[in-house]
Amino acid sequence: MKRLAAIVTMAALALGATACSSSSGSGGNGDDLSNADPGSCIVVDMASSPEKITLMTELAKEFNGSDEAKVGERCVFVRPRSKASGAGASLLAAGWPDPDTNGPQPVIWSPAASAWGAVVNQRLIDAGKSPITEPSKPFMLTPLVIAMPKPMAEALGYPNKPLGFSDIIALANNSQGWAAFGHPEWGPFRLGKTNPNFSTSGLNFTIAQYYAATGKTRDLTLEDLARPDVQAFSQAVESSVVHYGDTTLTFLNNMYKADARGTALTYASAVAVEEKSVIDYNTGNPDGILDPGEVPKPPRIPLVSIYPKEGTLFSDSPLFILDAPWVGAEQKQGAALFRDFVTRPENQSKVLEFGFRPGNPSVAIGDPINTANGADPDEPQALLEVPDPKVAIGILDQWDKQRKPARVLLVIDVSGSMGDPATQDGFATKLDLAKQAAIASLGEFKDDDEVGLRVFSTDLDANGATSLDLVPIGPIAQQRAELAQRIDDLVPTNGTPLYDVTADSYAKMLDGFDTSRINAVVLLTDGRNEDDNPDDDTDQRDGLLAELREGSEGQVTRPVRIFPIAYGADADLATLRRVADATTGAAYDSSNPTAINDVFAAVVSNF
Amino acid sequence: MARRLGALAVAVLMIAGAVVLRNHIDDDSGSSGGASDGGSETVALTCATELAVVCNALVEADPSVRATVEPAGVTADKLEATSGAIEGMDGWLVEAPWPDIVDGARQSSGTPSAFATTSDVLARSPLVMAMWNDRLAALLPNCANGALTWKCVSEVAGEKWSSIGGESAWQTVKPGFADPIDDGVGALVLAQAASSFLGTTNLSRSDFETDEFQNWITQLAGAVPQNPTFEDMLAIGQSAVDVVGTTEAEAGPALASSRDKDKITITYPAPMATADVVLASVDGASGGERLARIVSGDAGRRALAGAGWRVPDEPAVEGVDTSVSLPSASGLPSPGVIDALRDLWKGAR
Repeated sequence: MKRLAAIVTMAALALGATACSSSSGSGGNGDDLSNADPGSCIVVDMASSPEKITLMTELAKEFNGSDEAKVGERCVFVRPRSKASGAGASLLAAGWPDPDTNGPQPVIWSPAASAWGAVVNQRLIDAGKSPITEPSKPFMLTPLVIAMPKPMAEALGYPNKPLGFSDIIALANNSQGWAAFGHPEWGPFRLGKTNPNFSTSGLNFTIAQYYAATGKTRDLTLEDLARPDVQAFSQAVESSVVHYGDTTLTFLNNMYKADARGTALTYASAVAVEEKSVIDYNTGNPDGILDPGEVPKPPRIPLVSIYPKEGTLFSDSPLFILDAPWVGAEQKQGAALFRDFVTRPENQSKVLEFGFRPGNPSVAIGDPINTANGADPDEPQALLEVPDPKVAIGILDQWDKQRKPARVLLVIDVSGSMGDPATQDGFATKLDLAKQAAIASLGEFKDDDEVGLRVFSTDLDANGATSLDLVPIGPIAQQRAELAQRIDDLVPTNGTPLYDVTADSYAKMLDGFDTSRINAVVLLTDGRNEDDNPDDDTDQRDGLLAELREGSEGQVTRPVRIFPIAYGADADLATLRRVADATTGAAYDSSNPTAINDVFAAVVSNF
Repeated sequence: MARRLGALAVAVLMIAGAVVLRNHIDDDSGSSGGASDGGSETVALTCATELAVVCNALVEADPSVRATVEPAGVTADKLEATSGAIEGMDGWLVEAPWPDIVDGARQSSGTPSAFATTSDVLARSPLVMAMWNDRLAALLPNCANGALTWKCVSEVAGEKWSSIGGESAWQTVKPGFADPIDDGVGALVLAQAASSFLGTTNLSRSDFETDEFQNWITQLAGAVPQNPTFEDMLAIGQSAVDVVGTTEAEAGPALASSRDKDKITITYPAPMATADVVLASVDGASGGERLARIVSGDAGRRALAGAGWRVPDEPAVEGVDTSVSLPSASGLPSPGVIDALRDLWKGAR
């Protein structure tokens, strides 16, 4: 993905991905209200970033039921719906097409940070259109921090020594890794950061990375981005990345699980997240969602928030009332009433429960934002400036070129059940939709990524092969067309030797492990393990998981991460999650086959 | 210098035009009734953004008032560009000397005054500096006579705090105020700062032509951060801005109810300057006189006082320190000088 248009497409594809990712809780959902009947009220549809959808839904319900939800004599009905910030930005820049698929055109848009609003305006201006967002007061705030396991932060001098992006990046560039700080057992420095096209914290960290590269704290320019030393610096940072992804929750979930096994320190050394996420993690709620009956259990090793000494950026959750063609005057008035409502002190105190800082300064910052939870309400002391939108877009373009290259084996299930209809009323089979999504995803890899194609089923040849390597792993620039053609040619065949093929694919990637790349298996399957011998399934599975864990833990590990996609209602999502966990990857749920495009895009955002 | 994101968004908005907070649009016969002055025709009031609360209160008190809120600079641009009356605008509630700035520009292009009358001062508020206590303690030893002034702040603007006795974690000295190009009060604060630097309010445009002044304004403009207002200071905290220039009307009441009220000090830099609210009735507009009666009447007085402005014989709200007395005049340079400073600022940013 090299051009802005591609960024827009990719981010737009992500709109459903976050909710689909098994390791990426969306913070609840607003489905209850987003599908509610507004009656004859003025409808104010709202697109909200996922981390606050639960809170927004709660506030909207309260508002809708109050006497204040009135414009003249007409009632107002606010309908929040979850929408990832990057996806929302892309849709708005494109005029919010296809409401049936993308959700209703919003009257209020609340991304995680104001920067997204400026990006939308810039894209519209570039297209000769009028901007649609105006500055908005923050609804709530949370700063970007560098989250580190406490012992690692202490090894760097925390809490007495001010730390910042420059320290982290110097460590990332140090070939000795943690050995330089007396801890060879922790292995190399591993950085967790998300894909900036999808994630606000990923975007903010990437901006901060460029500031650190230039030594500036403001006025970043396109000329700065083009400097060879700046590019080299950024490339070095990217080289330390574990993998990317659409949400920080993947990292936090993996770290939490690794912590439970006592291996947190070898998963990631630092993760760029928001302060709120550190609080959630340390209170035993790494995905920010507590399911009914779930008892949070704090991790053995807590994270601490490093507020970078150079300054940081805030996510400020604006509530933009859009000046868009589809927004009427009454809707704007209704939206303004809701915006006033949510900024009242009694409602602002609720944001604290979610680990955010109230946007209304009359509400004190209090628990859970405290040192016991790894946060410090008196920090940060300095800010980095959000760059000019053209520079922000330039950063995204640069990142596309400089992100850590990937070496990926696409492993696709061609068992007989993949020939089943994808929907009750459709012609397309599950394999048809999977092929379309896989082919579309090829465009998201950058040219020097290495990608190969493997299919699996039983009795694939006369010798009873369970997998066939249709395209060997190689630079995608040279074989994108061949990959697409071979994927397009796939047909459903026999059984599902899931465990065998997973083990074999993992071993294959381990054999050719490349330390300079993200090494990964993308495993798409619609079924359960189904080979000729059902009696040994349990042993096979346990052996597989043990092998995967053994290869993924310890400081000398060569991490090959598996990103399974549980495709269709019959897929064995539970086992696939365990496979992902064993390799600190992430499992993705596409139990609805029509969601496979979005899910594939989310999976590829890891690279 | 590349325009920054926040500034761009603000500018875009301002160009985009008015935000109608409350739109009591009546038919041609006008009459939503209930006008406190006994009239019923709709009157159109344009308010500077920082007076939005006042406008809202007026609309609440008198439904015949239709209010539009927009930055003073946006209204000024419209008035300067129009030779006749502006449709939908009977009067402009703004700080002096903005109407004079508009007329000055019109005069230079041979256009007569935009206004039939400009009211006496309706309300006043001293210009203040609000600063984080720890930063203030570090800065004061660097200030003449240990007193906080814009001269003192601006001379170290953009320097590392660690070089003047502050902590390195604070990074650079970041003074802030609202954009003087468009904000009614921002322009006045810049004028106060320039007067402080030059040591007099009796300024002329030629005073700005020296290298010393050009360097000063460039340094100051380069040090103002992306979130420079008092609102940013309170919402984001210490990382946003170190010291903010604004009115007592904005800072006093907001600080009194803020979570950071014990961490910020409001000072009244000497010599004191004030923002003085006036109503300029647009020439040729039919509702100007009635609007003037409404705004200068009880409803207007209460609205202004309730928003933190000092209005004779009206009680002050919490956070307004009436023990600090006001000078008889605004203490600001002439309208032409303020306008010239806005132009200079545009170039310096």
